[in-house]
Parts: sequence; C-alpha cells; structure tokens
Amino acid sequence: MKKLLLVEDNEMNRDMLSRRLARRGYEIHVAVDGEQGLAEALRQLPDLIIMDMSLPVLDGWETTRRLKQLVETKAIPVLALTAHAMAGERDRALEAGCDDYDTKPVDFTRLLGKIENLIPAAT
Amino acid sequence: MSRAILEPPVIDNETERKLSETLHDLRTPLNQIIGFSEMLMEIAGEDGNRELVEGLSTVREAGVELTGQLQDKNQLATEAQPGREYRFLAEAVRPATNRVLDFVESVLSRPADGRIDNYREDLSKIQSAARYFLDASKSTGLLIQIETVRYWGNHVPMGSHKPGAVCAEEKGRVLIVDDESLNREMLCRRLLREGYRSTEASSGREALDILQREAFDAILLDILMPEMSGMEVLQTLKQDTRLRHLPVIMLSALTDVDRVARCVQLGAEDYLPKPINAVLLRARLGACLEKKRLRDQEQEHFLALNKEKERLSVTLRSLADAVITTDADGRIVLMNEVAAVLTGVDAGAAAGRPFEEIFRIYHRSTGRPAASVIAEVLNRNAVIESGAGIAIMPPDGIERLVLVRTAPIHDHEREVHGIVVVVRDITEKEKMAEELLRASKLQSIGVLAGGLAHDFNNMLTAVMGNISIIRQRPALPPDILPSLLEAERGALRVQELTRYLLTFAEGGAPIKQIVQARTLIRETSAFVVRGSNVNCEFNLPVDLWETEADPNQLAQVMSNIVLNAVEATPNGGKIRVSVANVTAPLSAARHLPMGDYLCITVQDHGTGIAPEHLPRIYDPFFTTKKQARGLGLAAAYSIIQRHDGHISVDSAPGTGTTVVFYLKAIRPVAPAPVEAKPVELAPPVESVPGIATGRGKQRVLIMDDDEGIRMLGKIMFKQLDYEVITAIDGDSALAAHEEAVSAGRPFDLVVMDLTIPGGMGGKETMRRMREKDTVVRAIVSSGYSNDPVMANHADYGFDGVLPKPYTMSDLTRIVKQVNPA
Repeated sequence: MKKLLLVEDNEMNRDMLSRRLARRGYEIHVAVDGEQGLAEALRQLPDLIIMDMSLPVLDGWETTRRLKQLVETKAIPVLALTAHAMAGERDRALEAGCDDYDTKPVDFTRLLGKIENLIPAAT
Repeated sequence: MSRAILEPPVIDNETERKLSETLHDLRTPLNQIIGFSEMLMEIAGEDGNRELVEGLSTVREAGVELTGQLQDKNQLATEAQPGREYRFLAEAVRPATNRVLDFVESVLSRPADGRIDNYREDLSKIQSAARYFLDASKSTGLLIQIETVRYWGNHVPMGSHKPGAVCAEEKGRVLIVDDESLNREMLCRRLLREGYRSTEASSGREALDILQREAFDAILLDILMPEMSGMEVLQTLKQDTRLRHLPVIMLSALTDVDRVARCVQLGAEDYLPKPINAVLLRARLGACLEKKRLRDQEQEHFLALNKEKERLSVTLRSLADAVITTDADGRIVLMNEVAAVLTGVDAGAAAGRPFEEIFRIYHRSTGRPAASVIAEVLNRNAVIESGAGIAIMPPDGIERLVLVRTAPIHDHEREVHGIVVVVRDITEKEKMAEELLRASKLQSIGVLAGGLAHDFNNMLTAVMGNISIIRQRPALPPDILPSLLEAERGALRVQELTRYLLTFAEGGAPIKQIVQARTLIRETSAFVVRGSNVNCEFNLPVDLWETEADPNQLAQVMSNIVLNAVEATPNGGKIRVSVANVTAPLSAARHLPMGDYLCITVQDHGTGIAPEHLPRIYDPFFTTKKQARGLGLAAAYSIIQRHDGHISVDSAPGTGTTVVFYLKAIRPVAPAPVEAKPVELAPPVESVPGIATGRGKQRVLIMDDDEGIRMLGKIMFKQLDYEVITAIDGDSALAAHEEAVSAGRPFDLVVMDLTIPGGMGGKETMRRMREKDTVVRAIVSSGYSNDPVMANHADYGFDGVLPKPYTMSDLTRIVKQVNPA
C-alpha cells in the first residue's frame, strides 16, 4: 500500500482529502503545518507528499526546499497544491523543488491522475 | 461594438491583490462543499442510497454554480462602475447557498435512521461550510454584475454539458481544452446557453485524441497547461493537414501578451482573456465559426469541382475513342490519351494548335485530305458525321480507318464557343466485316465444292479404276502405255484439285488428334523446299505445346504457306519458320479468344504482296501466278478457321511476307504424345501387286448408286476372283444380303458407298445389316474422304476404308487386309 503524507492546515480540507484518498486505497498520514510536515516526512518516509503551499509556521515552499535538501527525504516526490487565483504560485512551487503541482479547488480525478503519475501503483 | 469598450475596467494592483485574497477565502468553503458532496455521493452510491445521491448532486451543483459566480474577478467590484448594473454579492449567492442548506438541514433534522446516520457528521461539515460562505460573502461587501448573476442563476441541470448533449438549434461543436475542470464546466454551460455543443478535454493529449475521432467547428484552448501547453497543441494542429483549418481561440491571462502574440503568429484565430467575458466569447466564437463556415463552403465547392474534373478526365481516359475539344477557332484545348496515340502528339504539345494540323484526315482511296470537319461544323452549326473511307496515318505507320463525329459546344447564349471531335478507329470493325464476308463467301463455295468433289470423285473412280485395269493387261501394245500414263496423270491432278475443293466443303471438318506440331511442321516444310534454292531456317523450341488438329489438314496449311514463300523467293534465300507458345489475349491478334495457342510464323524476304492484292489473298481462285489455282491460302484460311485458329498476313512489296497463324494449344500433361506421321503429299503411283487368288469363290456385295462404279467394281473384283453382286441403294443391298443368307450362300465381303442421294446410305445400311450379321467383312467407300464415318469407320461396323477415287492396287490392298481369306 502506498503511503501518502498530506500537509494541509485547513482542517476540513485535510479531513475531506485524506478520507477521499484513503477510499482509493492509500495509507494517509497528515500534518497541519510545515514543521510537522517535515517531522512526519522523516518519521514515515512516505511514497509521496501532498503539500499545501500556504501553511502557517513554515510555508509550503520553504518546507519543500528543506525536504529536498535532506538525504532521507530528497527522493520523495512532492505534489504542490496552489491557490488557483494566485498568479506565480505554481512557478514558485516548481522552483522550490516540487515535482508537480495541482490547483485548488481540487479536481479530485485530476489529482488522482497526478499521484498515479508520480508513484505508479504497480511496482 | 469596438473591442475597447469590452476590455475590463482598470483596477490598481493593491485592490486586485486584496480582491484575489478575498476570493480565495470565499472559494475555500465552496471547495469543501463540492469535495464533501462528491465523496458522499460516492459512498451513498455504494450504499445504494439513491435519494441521498440525488440530493447531494444538487448540493454539488450549487457549489459549482457559486464557484462560477466567483470565477470572474472582473465581474466583481468594491464600487459600482458607471454603465453597469450590480447586486450585492451576499444577495446574489443566497439562492444557491440556500439550496445547499435546505437539503443538508432537511436530512439532519430527521429522526435516527440507519440509512443516513453515518452521513450526519459529514453533512454537518457541508452545513457549516455553507454558513461560513454566506457570512464571509456578507462581510466582503462586494458587488457583482447582474449579468453574471442572471447567467449563473439560470439553472442548468448538471450533466447536460457532458459530451454529446445537444441543444435544440445547434450552432456548432466546440472543443474546450483546459486543465481546470471548473473552467471547462463554466465554459460548457455558457456555450450550451449560446446554442453550441461542447466537448471537454482536460489536457493537450486528450484534446488531440478527441480531434482524431470527432469533428469540431472551433477549439477553445488554454495556453497554460501542464505536460503539453496550449501552444504545443496549436503547433501540432497546424501541422496536421486535416485539422490545420480548424479555428482555435486561445484562452489566456490578460498579462500573457507575449504568449498570445506567439499563438496568433502560429495561426490561432483569436484569443480570449481569462476570466472569460460572456459577451466577448459570444462575439469571437461567432465570428470564428462564420469564417469557418465560409471556408468549409469554399472547400466543398473546390472539392466538388475537382471531383467533377477527375470524373471527366477518367471518362475521357477510359474511352476507346479519341476525344478532342477545340475552341471556336478550331484550336485544340483538350485531348485524351487515345488521341495522343493516334496522332503521336502529346496532349500538352497539341494544346493551342489547329485541329487539322494535328489530325490529318484523308480519303483512303485517293490519299487527298478530307474536308475540314471544323469548318463544316461551324458552317452548319450541327452535329456532323464523316462518311466512309476516311483514314489517318498514326506514327506507327499502320493506317487506321476512322469515323469522325463533330459537334459544336454552345454557351448559354447559344453561341458556338467550342467544338468536340470524336475520332473512332473502325479498322478492326472493318476487318471483322471483311472476315465475315469472306466466311460467308467460303461457306457458299463450300456447298458447291462439296457437291462437285463428290461427283468428281465418283467419275474419277471410274476413269482411274479402268485405266489401272487396262494397265494390268499382260500383253499391252507398247505404244499404248504412254497415253495411258498421261491419262492417269491428268486424272491424278483432278484428284488433287478435288481434295482442295473438299477442304471448303461442309464435309471437310477436321479429324482432330493430338499432334506434336514440331515434327509435322519441320518435315512438311523441309519436304516443300527440297530441290529449290531456298533454305528453311527453323526456330522450334523443344518445349512446344501440343495442338489438337487434323494432321493432314495442318500439313496442307504448312505446305501451302511454305510453297508460297518459296515461290516468292525466286532467286533463292532463306525462309524462317518458327513456332512459339503464346497465351491470348494478345495485342497482335485481338479477336483471338483467351487461351493457350501455338503461334506459327513463316517469314520470307521475297517479292511481297502488292497492297491492292492483300484484301483478296484468301479468295479462292484469286491468284497472281500463272499456273496456279489460287487455292493455297484460301484452303489454309478455311482450315485454320475450322480449327478455331486465326491467320494473318503482313506483307510489303520488296521486303517480303510474314504469315502468322495461331492454333489452339494444349499444355502437355502426360508424356508420349502420338507422333503424327509425316504426310505423303503426292503418293507415287504404285506398281500393281499380283492378283490375289481366292480359296474357292468368295462373294462380294457392292452397293453404289453410280453405275460406272458398280461396273468398275464388277471388273476389279472378278480379277480378284470374287463372285460379285451389286445393289443401287440400302434397301436393295439389305434385300440381297438377306436372300444370300437364306440361300445358304452368305457374302464374305460388302463394299458400301457412304452417300446414296435420295436413299439409305452406307452408314444406316451397315447398322441394320450388323443387327443380323456380325461375321461379314465390310468396307466403306466415299468421295467425301473427310467424312467422320470414314475417319472412325470401326464405330460404324466397318472393317476398312476405301476413299474414292481408287485404283486396282488400292482395292487389292484393302481387300487383302479386310478379308485375308
């Protein structure tokens, strides 16, 4: 079973997304901010991290940059979630080392496609 | 309406940033409403709870509608802009939000129910998101343009925008390519309201896939997409000949001027700034489709015209006639390939030149040019047809008889603006007509010849038989012998002539057998040239097929043709005789039916045949030689016709003659074909054998209607020591036979004439006689030496054959053979 780490500060979004992904057969771990995200990533070593960019304490860009500097976590693909309305956010996400991005509001089917793309189920 | 008015109002950066943040805040609860309702729909679907699925889908739909209202930043404002109508956002979003709350709260207020209790917690989350959204929209104090509210307020049921949904009057099919599903959904709804049918693609790849399968009238293409950008999609489309002309409208952020400019350079029809303005969308899409409609129409006309042109050109090409069109001055505009072949002038080279310069039509008899058909058509302004006897000379030097039809082409004012000329090659047709005429001529000659030959043979039998009897006299005065020999030689020549005549006769049907043509042709030809100063050069491959033919007749054909060649080469030289396996259809012999043939060629380099004589060479008794009967080629022709073959003669004075004939061939399957015996062309007069002496008195019955023959028979058989009884027809022969049997003195031998005019002939008489008598020996004799009964005498109850005329020695030989006793 593939292990995903979802870093999202909005509780309801976190709740909804984690449950929807769990329904698709993923093992889900969650973190509510960047710092927790970093700690969980090191502890769980997930197959993929889904990272909201606008996070309290440590934002998504910075968290990703750090993840990509750590030997243990730098190989883990990061999928950024950026706000649709904010121009330039996706470019910044890619600059920070994210492997792909998706925009909010989340189109669930498309998100699943991107996850599958980064970590194919059959390995 | 100029474009400037349609541009969104200018908003300063700080305001815009604030607005963006506000919108982001407002969208978050909507995102949750949509997300939770989608998830719960899935779960309810698995539970089979249809009521819940339906209710949740109205919730989801309301979420989408609300997102749509907030999609377009430019439709929102903090202050009213002049010339626009607004509502408070909080009021505008209330109906849709209430639909969410109505459903969720109606479920939550129900008493405990196993079917819904599991959903309560999540439904409360939707409820709180909706309430939060309502409060937040109030606190923004934003205004929204009435147009947008009306648009989104006009409820379009979910799912109706899916591919395949059709509007009552469909303006066209649009492919929407955007990675944002909400953008697609909103565009879809707008387009549907405008009367377009749309299909969605979430990526460039998918768009290209769909375009391979389905036809569209326009594409709305987002520039910025992951994996494959809109620009790449555009480039790919422009390289595809089929899709190149499909109008593409790029969707882009206003700030993206560079990319938009590049797309327009790449061939995009237009662009629409995001967020999409409904009025702009309608105007640009409408213009785009109108342009496409015109281009499609133009393309259709172009294709129809091309098709018509192609059809015309195929028709012209497939015609066997030469077709030429000219302008009103008679200058060639167009001509087909047949015309090019007939004239030896390429269609391109002929264009613009006067018709009469390319087609030189002349009278065959005089060689003078025929009157101008162009001038005549212009004069009479009607369709005219040439008379018989005109010809043209193609570059291959073989004159063609032609029929020329010329017609004026009128324009819509009935003025002649061109002429069409059809030239039909009727050479073959004329040839066929000649052949038919020749065949009917030969047929009537055949009837005559048959009768003549039969009578001649009877008379000759009397003449030659009696001469042979006299010659056997022991004490013949020596001065008589030369006269007798001369009389006999004369009779033999008549016999040979008669044999020729018989080849035309109806009774002269070939008696076919499998023949190895190689041997027969070599020996016959060699025999003919023997003693002349002409050599035969053979080309006879060893793998030649066999043929089914009458060997005697085939030998006659060969000897006649080779003899002609020898006579045409008085100063000596070579004759080439070659045989080849060929398979029809052949261009050289067009009316030969399909199949395998032997092609026999006899070529000399002699004097040749004058052109004026060529049409008559097969006519019986036509000859240019003294002391020739003019029957050689006539007989050859007749024989080859009867073998279902074909003969042709090609000759020019001074260069020689080539005779080619075809005989049906059989590819050998079994080895060891029957070798045809070389034919004795002029059987030498044999020395008379000694007189046979019968043991006791043998009895013979001779049946013949000719008194001379009966008399001759009596004399000859008496010499063979037979007792002779004669009968004049079948009836009396049968009576005599019966009488002899009942008298206890049956016949040892019967000799029967095959044909008795007005009475029972030999065939029927023998059949009846054999019913009673299987012992008696029987010989059939006839002047029709080619009759099938003669060829297959055993099938008819006869033991031997005696062709008329016959000499004493002929008779003696056959009698000994049939009745050795």
